Amino acid sequence: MKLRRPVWLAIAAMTVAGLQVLAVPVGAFAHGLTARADLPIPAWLFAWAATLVLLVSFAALAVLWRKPLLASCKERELIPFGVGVDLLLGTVGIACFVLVCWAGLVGTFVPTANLAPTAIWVLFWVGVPVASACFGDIFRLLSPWRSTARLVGWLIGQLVPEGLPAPRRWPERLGRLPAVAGLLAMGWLELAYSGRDDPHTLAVLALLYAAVQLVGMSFWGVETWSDRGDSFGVLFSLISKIAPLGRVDGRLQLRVPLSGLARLTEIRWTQLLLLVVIGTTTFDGFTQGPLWADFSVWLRDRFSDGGLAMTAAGEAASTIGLFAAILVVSGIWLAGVRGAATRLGSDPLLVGRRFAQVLVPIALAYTVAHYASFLVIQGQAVGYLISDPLGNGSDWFGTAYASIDYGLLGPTAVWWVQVAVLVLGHIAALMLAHDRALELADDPRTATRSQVPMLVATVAFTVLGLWLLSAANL
Amino acid sequence: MLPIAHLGHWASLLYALPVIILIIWAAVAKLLEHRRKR
Repeated sequence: MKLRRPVWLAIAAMTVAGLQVLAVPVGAFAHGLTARADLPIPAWLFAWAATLVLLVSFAALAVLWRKPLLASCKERELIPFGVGVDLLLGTVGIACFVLVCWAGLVGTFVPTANLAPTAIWVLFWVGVPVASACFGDIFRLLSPWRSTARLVGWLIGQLVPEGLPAPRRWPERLGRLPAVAGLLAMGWLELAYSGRDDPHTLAVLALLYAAVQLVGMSFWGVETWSDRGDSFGVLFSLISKIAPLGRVDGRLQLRVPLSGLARLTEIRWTQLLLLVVIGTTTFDGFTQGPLWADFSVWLRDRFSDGGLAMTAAGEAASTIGLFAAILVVSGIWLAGVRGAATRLGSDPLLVGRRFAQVLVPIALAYTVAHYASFLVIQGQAVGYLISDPLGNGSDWFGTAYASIDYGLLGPTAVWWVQVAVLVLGHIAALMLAHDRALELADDPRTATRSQVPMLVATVAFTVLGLWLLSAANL
Repeated sequence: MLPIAHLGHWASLLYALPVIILIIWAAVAKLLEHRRKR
């Protein structure tokens, strides 16, 4: 299809404007940020550059990508990936879970000397999503609760001749709502709860979570619950659809990256689940900037004036901030969906559900950009914690005295990684949205027109992400 | 007093500007289309 002339003119104008701004001597904008990261241009200019890249990508998609491609991409079968792998990785997962819980319950209360907080907040919460996006749904195989439930189910099946009763039917109207509730609780724990680093509390909560999963799986079946109720299982599985590796019918397959997302089964409340993840990361970034530093004190004082104790008042202020962040990102997304629905002549609710996968690369980009340095720096602590998980001076593998190399990823490198990840993630989102629009629209022209609001939403997410990261870097 | 001084920080506005320009562009494009239809 042909883009209308005003659109071309606008893109050309933005390109010229962007290049002109980039050409301005660096000294003219010598402000704050360079103190931490040594950047060639001021941080806000990256937001302009990112916008430009997204605009050019959008135009390129409109011109070059004329029919839906992703859903019909062919996979290539690699190797058989049988039940032995399940058994092996399931055992590893259960062993890790037991080790982390044991360390949390028995080990030292010093969060940095106990394995549990680092294992949960760094390896599990940040490391697993990153690994899933590269290697596919590894958590499905490692999941301690899924492995335990399958093992118990198999054992009972062997012992009781008539087998287990059939699982209950899950009300599809509820979709992934239990998983949403779990992630909301995780976000609250991470950002509002004052005892988030206490190893003992974390271990108890991990055990509680596992217990809830086992109950859910026993009622509604392992697979149904894994896809709807297990917050982490659902999230990591969604992210793993980005990966070029997948498993179908016991065989490992090579596929076009992102094509797994284009074939996603629609389950209700998936959008909310991803918006909660993006909103949580947004709020985490926001809390590190100067605006929240002032505003949270003001808000906390209001709660404390109202009679709340100081800790509780702080938690209440953070809770409000967390929900506000989720509302803001939901607002950006819904505005994009609404605009797309109007141009496609379809129901916004339906369009939202059909475009939910667009949020997956955005959620991953936000997570990686936000926690990149955390993963690389704090992740190194696993080196010594694995030899001394309880923090009692033992040295199992001879690495107890390893230290963290803080110079491994400097502030400048971190910033470039953050910018690259955010831009790439949002280009992936544009591609997914464009491909789905081509499926839904009658002609490529309508499809592209329907994606203008999505483009604005995508740019808004990118710019918001960059603003949050640069504010945190101040 | 609600501390809103940072909201007026010029750099924050510079971050928002690309989005504002895009929204204005989309609105103008839509307006022009409506006019042409009439």
